[in-house]
Amino acid sequence: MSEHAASPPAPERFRRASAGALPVAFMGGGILCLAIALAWGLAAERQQFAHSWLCGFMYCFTICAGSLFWVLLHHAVDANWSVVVRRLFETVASLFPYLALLFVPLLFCLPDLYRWLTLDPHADHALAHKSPYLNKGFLLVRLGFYFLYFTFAATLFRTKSVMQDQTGDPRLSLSMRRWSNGLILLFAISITFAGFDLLMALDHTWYSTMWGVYIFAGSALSSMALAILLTFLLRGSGYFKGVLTVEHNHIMGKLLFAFTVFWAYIGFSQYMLIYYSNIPEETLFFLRRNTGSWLYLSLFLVVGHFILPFLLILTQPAKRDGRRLLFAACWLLFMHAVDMFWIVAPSLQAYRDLAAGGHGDTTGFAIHPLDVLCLLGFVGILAALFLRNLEKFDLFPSRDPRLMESITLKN
Amino acid sequence: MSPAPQHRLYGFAAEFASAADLYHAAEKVRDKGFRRWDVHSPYPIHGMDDAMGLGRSRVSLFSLLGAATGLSLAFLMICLAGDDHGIVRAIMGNFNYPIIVAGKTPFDIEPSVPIFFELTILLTAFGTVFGLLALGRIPQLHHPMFNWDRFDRVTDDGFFIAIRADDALFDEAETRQFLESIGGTGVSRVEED
Repeated sequence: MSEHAASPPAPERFRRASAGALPVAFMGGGILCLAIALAWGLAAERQQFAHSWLCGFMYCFTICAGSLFWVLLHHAVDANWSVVVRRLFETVASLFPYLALLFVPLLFCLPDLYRWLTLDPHADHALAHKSPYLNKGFLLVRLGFYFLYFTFAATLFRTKSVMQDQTGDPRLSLSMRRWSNGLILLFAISITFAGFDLLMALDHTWYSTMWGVYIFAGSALSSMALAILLTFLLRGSGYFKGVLTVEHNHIMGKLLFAFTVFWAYIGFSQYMLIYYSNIPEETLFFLRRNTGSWLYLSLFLVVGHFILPFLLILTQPAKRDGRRLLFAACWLLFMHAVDMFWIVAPSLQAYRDLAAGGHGDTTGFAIHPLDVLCLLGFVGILAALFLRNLEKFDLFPSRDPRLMESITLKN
Repeated sequence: MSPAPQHRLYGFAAEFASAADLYHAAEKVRDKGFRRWDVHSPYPIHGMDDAMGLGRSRVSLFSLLGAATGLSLAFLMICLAGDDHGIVRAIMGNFNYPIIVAGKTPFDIEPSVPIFFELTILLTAFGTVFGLLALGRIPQLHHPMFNWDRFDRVTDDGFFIAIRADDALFDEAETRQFLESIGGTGVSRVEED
């Protein structure tokens, strides 16, 4: 109670120089990776390239979408704890225009990813029924809509938030709250259908009504993990002194823990219902991922994405202790990449088998160098762009009316 | 009429003007080293736990016990009803009814997880709620503080601190003086029934 009298801290600005050679290394390495992937992939491994690129793309896409979700949620529920970390989420979410640009190569390989684009709807029963939705024209319209929506929403909140740094006008907070109520609804629709179109449609015969929620759970989880990582790195470089406290660790740890459980809950619900009803076209997805050595990756996903982090950050001291929370966040960011790989990679094997006249069987766990190149390339380029954008404005919304409530947070 | 029995002393209580006064007074009582004392206010006061130096609640221990019981119970139920092989047979002897439903094997991890999960959650909730009630000694139908007429205002606009007589640092004269020194008014003896 007595701390409430304290005055707000001075605005802080990130300087790229404090990160040393990292931004240049990220950008250089990222461009190099993606350039090799493009040259090699398009020349010799077109189909592998398309899947690897999609995997790397979805990894970053889901993290950016999750960051936008936390911004939307902050405004929609008029939260106070998240004021100090909101600018980080805003800056991650504002990478969407670059993501749209990085999606362009995939536009030239869509039939290499989505087998239904190569089929005649009259010859394929499942596709015939789905063709009002699954047709190339409508797909392109939808993809355009997703990128427009995410770019618009991320830019809107960042612009208004930054404007408040200048003017200190509390009406901007009200305006953002009003916008968030409508945009959060569009967010739910966008991420659900983006999940359907980009990942579920890798096999047009398979469907799961929980798919959208599954993708969302991974997004919210991985973006919170990234935010935890960022706050630790920035605090390590001397930023956020007296602004971010152990209480912020605790609350972000609680959300990380909650979404670890939520991801498992959704993932298991999806699996259990499909297992129990035992309908061939539904079980196909899991059958492909439970056959041969893919089984080990599936089990690794269960243990690594749920059981391990669950036990690691279950207790209160673990959430408040910096090192354990930081380790859990890094680990979950890695597991999110495994999750994306687990979704995309078996589809490629199934596609190849179907194209060769088989039943869409998978051969077994295998990582292609292009998978690694694309993931590293995407992460490198976007990390460098993030650091560049972070430098442009204050590190936290310095004149937000709720700033002091956020700094003096108590759990 | 027989003479009134000698009432035992519960402690000394004082009233404070506001929530902020109560908060700061609580910090001083805590720093003085008292262990058996309490604050009473019309509404929860944010940060009072720290001001009183209460430390971490032990409710989570009850939650954990509830969770462990729930998980074991679920496992036992599934074993009793379905499984007909291995370790379960060794433990349960003839108490099993292997019924094949929907072509599934008698025991599978997938359909068992919801039962594990739900029973764990249910007994965790029970453990938490009843553990909370037990630690708070609820329901308590009467409290010595109600013997003090001034205390009626605790549900309206009264803020009180009571230091119990069984505290190691308690001393009738000194404690009365201490409560006055930290801004308490109307310091009174409160007796048990």
